[in-house]
Amino acid sequence: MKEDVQKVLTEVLTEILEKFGFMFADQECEAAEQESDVSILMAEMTFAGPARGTLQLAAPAPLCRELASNVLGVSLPETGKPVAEDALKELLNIACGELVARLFGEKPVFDLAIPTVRGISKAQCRELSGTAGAVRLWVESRPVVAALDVENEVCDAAFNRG
Amino acid sequence: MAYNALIVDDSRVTRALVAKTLRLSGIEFGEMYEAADGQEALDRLASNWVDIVFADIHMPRMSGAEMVDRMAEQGLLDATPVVVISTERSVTRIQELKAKGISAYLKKPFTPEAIKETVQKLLGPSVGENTEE
Repeated sequence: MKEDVQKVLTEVLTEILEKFGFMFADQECEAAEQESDVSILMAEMTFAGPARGTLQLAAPAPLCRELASNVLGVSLPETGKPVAEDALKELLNIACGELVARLFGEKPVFDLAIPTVRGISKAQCRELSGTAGAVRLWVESRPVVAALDVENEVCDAAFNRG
Repeated sequence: MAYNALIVDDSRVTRALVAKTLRLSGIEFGEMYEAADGQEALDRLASNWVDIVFADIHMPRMSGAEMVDRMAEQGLLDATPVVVISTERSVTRIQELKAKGISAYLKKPFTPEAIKETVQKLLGPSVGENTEE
């Protein structure tokens, strides 16, 4: 069942990155960019309704700036850190709304919390990548990690409905 | 005739994106006011003429739903259509918002076409159409 949730999470992220950020995501990367001292941002939000959970999304800061640049249609130098952070939060926000609807249907009411964002270390990002329910995508040769923590039994019920 | 819009969202990226989409829609907009939450939006509405409001639902301090309630109490909804642009997907909650008096709902991520069609529907079918001299 965990694989099903990861599949949905991957599909949702891929679609939202394309529609919102005009960016294409791959599950494999042949030539990942080696950025040793790049900072990493992580956005996080919770949802509560028939099930409770947390969705986290981590990406290198330069990728978040590219995302903001794409969304706003402005050049990279115009996208500072606050705008990059805001773009990542909004990406997470849209993905979370879509994810909850796909996992539990469009009838139940969920309260989506306001997303927060903070910088994390590479070790923290690796830890996030290794958690159960995490998926890793490659966007512009840079890694994006998403992790969904949700009540498993409720999630199982959602997949078994109908 | 230029229309004044109020864009209410706690995400500055989304506010900028909505404003840009409106500017490129072919519809003539005048002032584009912005607010980061429902309370700030009510303050803008109290001091400026606004023809149409685009609002998110999930915002800190005052949500979009509460803002719509306040607008209804002040009799503002009859003259000023509110378009909700949100990640909200629950049909139950969208129906509640429609019952409160919102004019339209668009889900994020929205398309420029969806915004233009919605504005034309709410402000008049000829809005944004090219007219030959």
